[in-house]
Amino acid sequence: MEEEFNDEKTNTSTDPALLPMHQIIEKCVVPLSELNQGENPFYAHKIKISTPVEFDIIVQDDGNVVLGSAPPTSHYATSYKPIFHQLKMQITPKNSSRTKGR
Amino acid sequence: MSRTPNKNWKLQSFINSLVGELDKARDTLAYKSLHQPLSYDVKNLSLELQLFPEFDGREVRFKNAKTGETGASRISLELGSISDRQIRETTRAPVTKDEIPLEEIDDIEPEIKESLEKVGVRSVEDIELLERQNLNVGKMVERVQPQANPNSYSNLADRLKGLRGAYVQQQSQIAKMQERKNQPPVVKKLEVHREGLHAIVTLQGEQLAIRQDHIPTVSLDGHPAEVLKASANFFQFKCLAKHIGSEGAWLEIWLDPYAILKFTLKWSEN
Repeated sequence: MEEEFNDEKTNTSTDPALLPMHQIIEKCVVPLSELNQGENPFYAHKIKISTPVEFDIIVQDDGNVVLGSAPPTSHYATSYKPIFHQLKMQITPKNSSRTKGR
Repeated sequence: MSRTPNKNWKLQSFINSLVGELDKARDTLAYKSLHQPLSYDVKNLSLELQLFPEFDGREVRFKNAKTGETGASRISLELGSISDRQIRETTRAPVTKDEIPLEEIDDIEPEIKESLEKVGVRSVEDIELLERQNLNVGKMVERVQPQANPNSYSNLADRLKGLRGAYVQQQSQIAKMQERKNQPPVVKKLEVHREGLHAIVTLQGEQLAIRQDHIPTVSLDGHPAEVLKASANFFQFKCLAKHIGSEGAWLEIWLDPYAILKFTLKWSEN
């Protein structure tokens, strides 16, 4: 069965195995916020993520591009390996009640 | 794994898309931060891409390396945060409404437009400013694009003077067209009387011949007719009765360049 992600605005399909780029970023950052809730006196004040990712770059007729991305979908050594690009992010807390007074 | 055909893209399109994706993610994170006492945000984002650059003689494009392809170049790019104050300090103001952007002028060759954009010239006003400061646009372009012919740029300001007139005229025509669109002609009554060999056609309505600077014309199957009276509510013309005929004739009334009435006119059966 083939499922495709359709971007409403662009009407262009990226690879079904890949997510739109902004969802990858959100999926990396949102769980951190949830981990650090509650009465825990410690919190992470800087997180660096560096991960290999696969990229699908779709070129539309007007020359604009749509990005699809995901962590490696293949983990086994095969004769043809997918090309991995490197994504690095630095994540910091926003000014909030926890970080005030620092 | 990507299965889409490997098409090449411009770095600018890629960065625009990447910035758009980052903005979307940050919007979501900002929304989440409203409900949570501690929230995180992406400060820096960098990518190391495996790409094949291609140069077609005019611009550099990139192609994503695909499964099985080796020897790709590694290109790193990093997006950092920038404040709105920094943006204002380091970038030029966008082309304003009163300026004429180069891309809207069809009479300049695309290569010349491209070369001018490379030296930061984006509007007719930019070229005129350079001319006033006695700078040689041709020499400037030659420095960044040695293959460009400086002679193409020597009389650019003179050429643009003519174009500016044409552009202003075109803009005023568009404005007039829009104005007419807001005041469409309305025909409420049409009468045809026979007077000997002639037929007198009378139209009554609203906003018919409202433009004083234009004399309305009428044609009946390509035969010109004589306009007797033309005003906003009343329009009358005279034509040869035989031109109407029993089969009907195609009537076109050009009230002004932006309002044309078209009918089929024919004598009634009785």
